[in-house]
Order: sequence, then C-alpha cells, then structure tokens
Amino acid sequence: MRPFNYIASTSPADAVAANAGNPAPHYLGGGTNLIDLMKEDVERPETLIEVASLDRKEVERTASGGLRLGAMLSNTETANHPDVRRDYPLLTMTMLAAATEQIRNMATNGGNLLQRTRCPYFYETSMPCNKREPGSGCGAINGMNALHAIFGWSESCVATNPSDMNIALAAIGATVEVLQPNGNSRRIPFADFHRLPGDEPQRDNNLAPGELIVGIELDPPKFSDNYYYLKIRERSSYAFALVSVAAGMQLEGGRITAAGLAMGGVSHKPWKLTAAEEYLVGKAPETATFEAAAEIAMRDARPLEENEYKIEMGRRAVVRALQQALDRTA
Amino acid sequence: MTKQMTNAADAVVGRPIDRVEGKLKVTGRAKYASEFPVEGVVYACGVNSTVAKGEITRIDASAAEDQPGVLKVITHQNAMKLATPDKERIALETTTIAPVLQSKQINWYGEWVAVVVAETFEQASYAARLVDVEYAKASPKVDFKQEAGYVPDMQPTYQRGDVQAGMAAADERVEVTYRTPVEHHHPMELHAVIAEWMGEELELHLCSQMVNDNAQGVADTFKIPKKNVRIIAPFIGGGFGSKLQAQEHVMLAAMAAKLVDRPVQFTVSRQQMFTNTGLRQENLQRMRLGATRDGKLTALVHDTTSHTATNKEYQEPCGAASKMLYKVANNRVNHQLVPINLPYPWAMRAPGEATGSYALECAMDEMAWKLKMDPVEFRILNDTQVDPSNDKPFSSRLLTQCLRIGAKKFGWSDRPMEPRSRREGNWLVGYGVSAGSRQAPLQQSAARIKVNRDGNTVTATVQTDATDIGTGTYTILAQTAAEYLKIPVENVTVQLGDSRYPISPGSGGSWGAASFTNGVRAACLKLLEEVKTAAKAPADDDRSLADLMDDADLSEHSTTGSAAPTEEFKNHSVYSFGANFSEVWVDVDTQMCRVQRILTVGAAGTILNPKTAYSQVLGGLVMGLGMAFTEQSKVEKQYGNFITRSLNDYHVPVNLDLADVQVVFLPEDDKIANPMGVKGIGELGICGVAGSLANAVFNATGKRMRDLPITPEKLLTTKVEEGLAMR
Repeated sequence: MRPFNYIASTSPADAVAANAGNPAPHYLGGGTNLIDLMKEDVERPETLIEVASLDRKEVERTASGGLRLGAMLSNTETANHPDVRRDYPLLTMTMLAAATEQIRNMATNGGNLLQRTRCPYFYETSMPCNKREPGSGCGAINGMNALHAIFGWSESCVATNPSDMNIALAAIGATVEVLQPNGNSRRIPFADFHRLPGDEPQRDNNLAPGELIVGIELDPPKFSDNYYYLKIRERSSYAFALVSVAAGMQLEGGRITAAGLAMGGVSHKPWKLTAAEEYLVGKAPETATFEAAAEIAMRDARPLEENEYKIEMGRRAVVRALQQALDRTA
Repeated sequence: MTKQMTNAADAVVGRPIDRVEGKLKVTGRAKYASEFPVEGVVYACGVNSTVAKGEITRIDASAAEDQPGVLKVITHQNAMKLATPDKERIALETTTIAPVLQSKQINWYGEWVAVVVAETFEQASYAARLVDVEYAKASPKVDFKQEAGYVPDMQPTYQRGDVQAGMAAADERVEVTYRTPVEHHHPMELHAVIAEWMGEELELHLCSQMVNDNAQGVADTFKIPKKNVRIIAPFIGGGFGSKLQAQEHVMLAAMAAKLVDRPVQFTVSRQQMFTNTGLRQENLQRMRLGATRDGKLTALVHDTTSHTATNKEYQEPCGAASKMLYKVANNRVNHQLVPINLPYPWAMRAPGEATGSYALECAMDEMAWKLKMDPVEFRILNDTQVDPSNDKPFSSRLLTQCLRIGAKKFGWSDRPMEPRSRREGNWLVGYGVSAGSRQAPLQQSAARIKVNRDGNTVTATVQTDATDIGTGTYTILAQTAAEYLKIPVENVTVQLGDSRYPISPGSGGSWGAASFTNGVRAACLKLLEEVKTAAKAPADDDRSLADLMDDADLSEHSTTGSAAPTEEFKNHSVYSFGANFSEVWVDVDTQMCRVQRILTVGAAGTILNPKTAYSQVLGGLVMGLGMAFTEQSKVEKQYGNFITRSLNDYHVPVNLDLADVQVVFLPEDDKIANPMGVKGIGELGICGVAGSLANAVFNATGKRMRDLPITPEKLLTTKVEEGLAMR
C-alpha cells in the first residue's frame, strides 16, 4: 500500500472542512471496499478522513412517515433495526443477502452507496479501464464481459454497480442527504444519485467533490407485506449477483396499488424498472401480469458478447421475485 | 507393579481422539512459517510481470531503492546465478530445481520479475509498486484448444486390446467431451518462508508438505550440499499439492537473505497465489465408451488434451482411473499437452483422478442412461478384482460393497431413473452416483523414538520429518506410538517437520498416513526388541515397557526405525475405493443448485482416527463440490491474466452450498498394503464427487453438464437432452 495521511474527524462538519480544497477527497467509512482498492493500487488517496466513528448512527422517523438511516450506521445494525425490519423488510432481506456477516458488520450505509464496481479490468491496474484511468479504454467491452451490464452502458464503460442495498433503495424510493464542503446540506433523490457511465465512467454518482453522505431517507413504507429480494449468484453466499431483483407490491382488493421493482447486476446504476412498475399498478397480481411486466423490464436490454444469458435470467428473476412477494401473504 | 494398558480393547489406533495439537492451534500458539520470531528479520515483496509473453527491456528500480528502509531490489540483472534447468522438465516424482530471475524472458503473466527487500513489510510492499519494468511485449498464446499437442514422456499412451474393434462390437456408444477449468489450490495459509543464512548453512522456516524433498530442491537450485539446508515446518495451513515442492518464492527469499545478509521473510499474497504457486490445468477429456445391451463395457477410450507452461512441464494424468477402475478388454488412455503462456500447472489434490473421475463417472452415467440400466448396477456389473492395466490382483477392493451399502443407506431405490421427474416446490430434485478410486501408495519412511522412564511411567517422543498439513499427522502418529509401545497416548509427544529428523516421504499423493505410521510402528517394534534384549527377556515377553526397562535398568532409550513397501505390496495393485451418492436440488427458475446431501462410503483399509479421517474426507467432498459448482479461474483472452484474482471472485463453496454430509468407512483389513493396513484417504475424498453431483443434476434437470463448474448461467443455456420430456 502507498503511504497516506489519516485524519480522524470529530463531526461531519469537521470532516468536510478537512477535505476542503482536496482535489481527490476520500472519506473512510467501514473500509470494506476502499481499503481493498488501496491494497490493489486502484485507489491512491493522499489523505483519508475517517468518518465511520462519527455520531451519525441513528435511525429516526421522518415527518413523512419514512425512516432516516444514519450514514455511518453499519449494514448489520441497519438491517436488523426493529423499525427497519417492521416497515422495510425488503431492505432487511436485501442487505442480509450481501457480502458476509463480517463485511456487513464493518460496512456503513453511506459506504454501501459508494461501492465501486467489481469489474476485473477496474481492479487490475495493468489492464485498460476508463473508470480507473480515464482515456485508457474499456477492456471489458470486447473482453471478458459475462458479468457486465446489459442496460445503460456506453462505449466507454460496461461495468455494473455491485451493491445489493442500492437495489432495494431503488425499489423502495429514498433521498440521500449530503453535507457540502461549505457546510450546507443537499438532498439528492436516490434515482438521481448514481449515474450511467456515458463518457465519464470515472464518476459513479453525482456527488460533488468533498460532499459527505450523512443520511438516507426512505420513502414512506409501502411494501412491508409483499416483498422479495431474489439474488442469483454462483454460490449461496459471498458472491455478487449475476442478476438480482428487489420487488415490492402493495395490494388492495385483488389489485396491485403500488409496485417497486429494481434490478441489480445489470447496469452502472441500480436499475429501476419504472415501466414495469407502472404496468403492474392496477393489475391483478397473477403470473400473466408478472410475465408481462418482466417482458417490459427486459425490453431495452443490450447484451454484450458474453452476457446474453442475463436477459432470460432477468426475465425469470422478475417473475419469480414478484411471485415470491405475492406468496409471502398468500 | 502397575500395569499400563496392554489389551486390545484399549487399542489406541482407530479411536476418534481429538487432535493432539488442537489446543495449540485454536489458541494461536501453533507457529506457522511466517510467524517465527527471527532476530533481525527483514521483509521481501515480489514484483510480477504484467505481460504474458515477451522480454524485459528495461528495469528502473531507482525510485524503489530511494525509499526509506529499502535494502535491495533484486532483478534478473543482479540476481545470484542459480542452477540451470538441464533440459529438466518437471515430473511429479522427482525433486526439482526452481531457478528464478535468471533471464529477461517472460513466460506468463505474473511471473516474478523482481523482489524488493526492506526493513518492514509496508516499506517493501510500497517500494515494490515503484519498480518500473518495461517490456517488449509479444502476443501470448493462452488458449490451448486450437493447438496441436504432444504426448509427454512421463505419460506415454496406454493401450490394451483393440479399441476400434471394441467400439464396433458395442450396442450402445457414448462419445462426449468434458471440460474442466483452471482451478487453484488456495490453502488457507499463504505460502510463506523465512530464510536465514548462517555461514554456509541455510535455515528455512517454510510451509512445506515435503521437507526432505524441499531441502534437496533448494540445495540443487543453489548448488550447495543438501546437509547445509535445514527446513523447519511444524505446522502447515493446508497445501493441496501447492506446497509439495520448494517453489520459486522460496529461492527468492533465500537469495534475498544472502544478498542483504539478513534473515528475510517472504509471504506470497493471495493474488500472487493465482500466478506463482501452481494451478490445476484446464482439461478437455474426450470419452468414448462402448457397451453391450446387457451392460458389459466393450471399449473405453479416454483422450485428454491440456496445457502446460512454455518453460515447465506438468501433466495431470486424467486417464489414470480409466485404465484400472472397470473391467474392459479394449482400453486406450492418451494425454496431450500444449505449451501456452499460463503459469505452470502443478499437482492439485488427486491430480488427474479428481478431474478424470468426473469425465469417467459422467460417461458411465451417460452409458447407463442409454442402456436404461441403474447406474449402480452398471458399475457393479463392470467391477473387477484384478487390475486390468497390469493384471495384478487388487490388495483389497470393496467397490461393490461401497456401492451397495451406500445405495441402501442413501435410499437410492427412491430415485426415478427418468430425469426431470421429481419436483419439490420450485426445485427439481435429482440423485447421482459415482465410483471413486485413488492409488494408495507407500514409501519408505523413518522415525526416531525416544522413551524415558520415571518409575512406572514411560513417556515417548516421536520424531520424523513428516508434516501435518492439517490432516492429523500429529494425532495418528501419537496413536500409533501409544499402540505399539503400549503406553497412554497422553504420554507420547510427536515432533514433525524438521529436516534434522529421520526422513519421511512427506505429505502428498495420499501416501502420508500409511508411510508415516508404518515407519513409526517399525521404530517402536525395534525399540521394544532392543529393550527386551537389554532386559534379557524373551521376544514374546508381553510385560509393559516400564517393566522391561526396569529389568534392563534403563531410564531412557532411543532408536530409529523405518518401513518400506514389501514385495507383496509391489505384486498387487493397491487402491482405496469409494462410492459417492448425492442429492441435488436445482431451482427451476434461477437455476441455482443446492446440494441437499452427500453420502460417501469409503473402503480405505484401517481408519486410524475416524474423527480426523472424517474431517479429511469432508474436505475432499467440499472441494469436489467446489469443482462441480463454483470453482474456476478465468483467463483473460487477450492479456493472459486471471480475472479471478481474489477469494471474492474465485468461489470456494460456502456452508450454505452444502447441507447434510455423511461419511461411512467400511471395515477393511488389508495387510498386503502394509502392516498397519492403512490406505490413503486424503485424495479419495474428492475423487468422483463432481461426477456424482453432475449426474444428480442430470437426474434433476435432464441436462448433461459437460463443462465445469455448473453455474446458473450454464444451466440456463444448456438444453435438456434429446428425447426427454420438458416438464
């Protein structure tokens, strides 16, 4: 690892102030991703500002009836918080499908939003990667891309967002609360938080330099009865999703009154299946409906050479996740 | 006089006692190679090539050398001159040299190109990043499948009968190709070494499976006498073959220690263990089977094509079991190698037999299905008590019993032969079976026994350079000595893994337990004989050792004894056998697989300690499960590096992947194998496992998975076999 400066901050304001003017600021949360990337020489921060120990660990009720999750709360504490378990079991189920117990104990909510891709070309510094080294080219687009994107990719990057938590947040709806270097706070709708690669794949999200995530506000709960997170992977635990689906439905009088649907493992950002969600609303929750929604969900997929399988896998995952969500109360 | 235990009811061998070194391990007091406190130690960090083929044109180490704490940067330009491979090509049974940093030539991605030595690990690893290497890059060859191979000298084509005639005489034929991917050993303990020169003598704390062999390999590489190399390896955190030989990093550490005149610690990183400590090669296995309608094999052809490094040769003998497991008159086994720009392959748990048994046992299943015959019965019908490859009788072979007893315990009769006909909710359910076999070799092995008497209490110390790679060597040797000296096992201390101790063959090839225990037994019997002579007691005097020593007026005595294979052993084929039954559930939508249960029945002679034996077979089953469903190292097609570069991407199975495991050992008394009646189990545990699981997947889904590992992606894109109803 390269030498770096380490600053333990005492408050969020202190942390952002410490970063003011730093052209490549790095906050250190649980370190489950950043430290790995430093060991791999992918991230080379001059200064790390430690924020995981800051007192932003609460779960609070918001005025609109949602929950506000502290950014520095661990994934384990969040997933198992009684209010989260009661009102947002989809989030609990999703978070517990991620990584391993040990990693979840260390990983913070803010850090989870900022997980970087697991694309091997990003990790191996001797291979080209526009995300790691803008302008060096994309090794994956004509290389080993079985695990890469089928939605929203660009010629410059076909990487995927690896987070599970992000997929549930996309389905549930949330707002990211950010502290700016000038001390003001800013609110970013979750759907606008992550970016598609376009021609700037080095930017995973729309945070401005030096901004610090301090909280995540969940939209009011709608899917506490009918929800499911389906994660298809190459082993039963500690593997990233080939394809995953977070599905939530609100049911009333034999109809779907609200739907949350998002897919992981398929895009540079958590892939919210908006058209499929809209299709579901007002329909009867039955197999034919789910299959039609799945067709809509996969309509715009553009596979790469090695990942065409994700279209059929994604279609099946949508149907199955909705079915499991329905069966939960059946 | 108190009697120490003497009667057979108190037999120590065969009891499931706890590991004698268990407490040391769980309390962290067992020292592994990198943990020894060596005064003045400094740290080395390796630099790897970032091209797969070419030449180093320039190395600028100045930035690294300028860093605080950096003592030296060693490259091919300033490396010590080591032994030159004298057209030497690696063969498993021979000691090998491992010259490194001897040329500017690059043979594979990740080859060592430099090593940085610094006062601290952090300084060394940072400076290693600053070594600037430029290459004249050539286009690497990393896919062997398009290339023509050659037949390696160590694996000449084997043939008996007339396979063409055998195939022509068949009523049913199976002609299919199976592919297995590159796998890596990944023992939990990283490869590590501390090297220290004391004048002409080199002392190595080394995680080594074979101490004596490694001392020879190091000596030959540095062209120094073997007696000048001392290896200390009391605890090894797994090896699976990767620690059989002293590899290049060992030479790097020794060279660095010489050049900086300080002890040097070198730990190979997990990422480097993908490129610098061997791998299991990718194999294409073309199987051709012929059988008569009533289920007799008429021909069996097993052609393997695989790769080796451009500068080293290693051949995994995939066809080994196909020569001897079934009664078939017409048989051909052929291996071809293609040199490509990948790291050198190396023996990985049951080399050849693990991968070969997948192909053979799946092909047997395919044939049984064609014949509409129960695959258990089909195997039993083709069983043989004589090894058809050499006409020697098997010293013991309970394969039929393994299959029959396993089938009964497993509930095999519940299995519908028709695939895709059992469903539980969203899961398709299938059963699979395979046979397993693994040669049970025996090698000369020596041990020193020292006994001390204090009144009526005798304590013993056993010393041998044998190793315990997590297998239970400490425990079974304590049990063996207690048994033959007739003293309590608590009174036996076992000391292992030091090249100053009597020579054993080390741990590898499933010969460890049999060789070591027979050596210890021989040493104990010799010691008893010597004490009886001193006591002027008759040879059949069955008094306790304490009494005999008292009579001889001895308070201590020591001796060295050894055992070697007998003529009778050589006149037989000596193998362990087993049968694997598995139940696999495949999710009808996601195509994810869950192994609901595995039952394995093994016949492997005397089971010295059922607890450690179970643990070893369990490990083999899990590794077989990894082979079937999760493990693969993927090679980047243009760059020639592995894109699976951590245990995050290289998927070893997790607990959730496997539910219930049962291991049954059949009682087997095989004194032809050796006086202890011990046959190896370390590799038997993995043999056939992937085949059994793939056959269960076929029974569940109707899909023949001829390309491992069986991933959701592959299951999704593989068609149900022709003629099967798609339910």
